[in-house]
Amino acid sequence: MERYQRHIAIEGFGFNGQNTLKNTSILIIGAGGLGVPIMQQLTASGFGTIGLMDGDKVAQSNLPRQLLYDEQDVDKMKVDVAYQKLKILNSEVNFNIYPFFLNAEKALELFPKYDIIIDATDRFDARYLINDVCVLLQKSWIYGAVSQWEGQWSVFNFSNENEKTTYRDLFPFPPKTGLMPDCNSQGIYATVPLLVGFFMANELIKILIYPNELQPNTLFYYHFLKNSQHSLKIKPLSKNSSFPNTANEILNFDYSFYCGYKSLDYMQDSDLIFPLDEEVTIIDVRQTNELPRLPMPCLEIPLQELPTRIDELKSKKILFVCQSGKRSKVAYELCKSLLPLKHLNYYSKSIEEFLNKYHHA
Amino acid sequence: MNILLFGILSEYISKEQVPWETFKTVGELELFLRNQFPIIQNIPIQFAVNQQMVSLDYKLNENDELVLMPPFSGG
Repeated sequence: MERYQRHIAIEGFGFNGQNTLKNTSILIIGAGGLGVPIMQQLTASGFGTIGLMDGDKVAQSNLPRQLLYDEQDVDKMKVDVAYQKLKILNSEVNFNIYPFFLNAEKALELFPKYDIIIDATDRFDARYLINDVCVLLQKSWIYGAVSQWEGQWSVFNFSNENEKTTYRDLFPFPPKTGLMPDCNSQGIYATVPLLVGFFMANELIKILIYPNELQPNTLFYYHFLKNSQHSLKIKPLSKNSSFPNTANEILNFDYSFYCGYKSLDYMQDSDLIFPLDEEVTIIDVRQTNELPRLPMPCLEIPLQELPTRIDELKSKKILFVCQSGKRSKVAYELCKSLLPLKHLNYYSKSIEEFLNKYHHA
Repeated sequence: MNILLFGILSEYISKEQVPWETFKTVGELELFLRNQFPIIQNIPIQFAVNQQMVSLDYKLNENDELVLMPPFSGG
């Protein structure tokens, strides 16, 4: 405990505070500009268990700001290098190394093993996945991101009161990715992610040791060139049922596609290929008394109910069918503008032909 | 009104081309901005007045400090 004497001497911190750090497990997702200062700080401060996740390798252009890596580490896996160096910094810390990028299976498997999740990624698909899994598991997470000289950070899904807010209360939907510059295209000076990373690590201490000091439901903002700061009180939005909110929905939700990292390369016209892709959800837009009913799994949403039931279209690949092919086209046209990110298609012929093709595929 | 454009919005929105004082609500302002600057069409914007997130029906006042906050993506 001697190495932590300066922590222990702080009013309100003491041995109990240091023991709290020792008994806490943190998962850091992303071992780049934000992740490196956070993992260095947490390791040196004596956290009990630290998980490090990143599927990336060290690049020359990382070296100015990712201060754990040196010239000899270029082209090596970031988390492997980080582990080798961090265990020398503090041999008392348990490290778990995950040399891959986050996906839904890994999030659902690994998040329950950690007390707090830290989002140090630079991608919206990872961020919305982290958000949805943390909401499902009722886990707090720390968010941070930078934009040139500016940084924003927050603690989500945490509150001393009942009201908890999430990233989706702040930004319910992601931007179209091509429009949002990242550090690669916009450039970044090294101090900015370092400072935001330390601000994020600082929020962690408030969660664990000084929860009454933490300002929940607040987005913090800093401009590091102008030294101006702002905060923004986040209000919870009413629940939106179109967001994935069960483990199954999260597993079946294509976050990469949702956030615009994949192009619309699926069905673009009515020439369908049978057998249908397993991921396609069939939507029957006929009245529920029209025959024959479909024997395969499908969603029954009569056309006139579609505008008010659009939240039920959760699958990313959707095929509309109806009695003759007319209403399915109307449904397709309607949803094309409302759900621009989904792979939509319609069957343009009769229900009998559809069933025939489906069964003989 | 004191207008603060953060992140990429400070590059995409030209402050001089917006008659800020003429809009009654945040919703009216947002509609104008998205028409005037098509590049922000698909960028979510969170509006905040006096450090509080506000909804689109918020009525703007001349003494407001209005923040336009987009998501950041770098890390």
